[in-house]
Amino acid sequence: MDVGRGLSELVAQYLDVDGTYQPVEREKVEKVLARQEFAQLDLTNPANVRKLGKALRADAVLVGKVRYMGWRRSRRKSKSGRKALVGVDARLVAVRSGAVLSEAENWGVSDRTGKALLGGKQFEEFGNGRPDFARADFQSTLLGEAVVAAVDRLGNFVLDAREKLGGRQFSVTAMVLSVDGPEAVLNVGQGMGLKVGRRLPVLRETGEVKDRTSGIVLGRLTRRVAVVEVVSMDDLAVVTRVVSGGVQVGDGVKIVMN
Amino acid sequence: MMMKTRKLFALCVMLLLGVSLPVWAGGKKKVVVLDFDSVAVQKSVQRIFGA
Repeated sequence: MDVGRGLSELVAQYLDVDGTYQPVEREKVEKVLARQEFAQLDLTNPANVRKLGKALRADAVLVGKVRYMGWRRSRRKSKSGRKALVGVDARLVAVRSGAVLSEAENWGVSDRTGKALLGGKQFEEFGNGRPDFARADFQSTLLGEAVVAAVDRLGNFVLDAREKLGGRQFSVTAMVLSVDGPEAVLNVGQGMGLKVGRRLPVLRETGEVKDRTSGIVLGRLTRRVAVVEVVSMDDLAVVTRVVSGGVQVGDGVKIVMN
Repeated sequence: MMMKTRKLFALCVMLLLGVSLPVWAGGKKKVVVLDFDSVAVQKSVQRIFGA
């Protein structure tokens, strides 16, 4: 089973929804990789990664290695069980300069504890090729939670490196005003240039980064909790449909202006 | 008078370029997400999924 492929597809989806990057279509990448000159290329070498990026007319290439997938090791035994853990090493290479823009270990831990990584569910079809980690039934398992958390870290790692690629990009954070079943209303109007069908990430604050001496808040930590799709809009508000995850009043919605 | 107009025009062009060039060079950047190497976890994956 190719978990590396499943994870990279999830990261590409994550970046696509965010709007900061445009992931190159998988078909195009596979076509270029099938060429003789790239078939035997060692992609752990940044120079070769740059060559591939140039052939695809990309600005950056993300290379990763799945380091761990399983239970989080714990000294204390808990009756409720353990948490799942997924680790991915990633490296973002700039195509123009060939420089490694960023390199990090990204670990994702499940929120819950338990005694079965897959909650007793069977995912036999995952073995027939690429596992579909985007499936809701997989993401509701302990391992699925850890995968989502690792992809969230990995996605943010790539987003943080965006400014190193040059140029400016603007984004605003809208707020969820109300939630009614699968519908969520945002406090921005059609002036934001949104189109019906555009998907947007919903972010929830998980903590603050404070200066220890002054107590000043230096930044806020957020986590992607859902994805919404624009359904309709008027001058004052945008109505969206929740595509995945759960939305609460007060959540932020990131809108990248392109 | 002519000199002042030229200077003003040059200033406007510089301002326009200064503001628009960084934005023009920005926008969505194309990124290739390669399949991650998962050789190190093959055994654990087989244990977990039985595949």
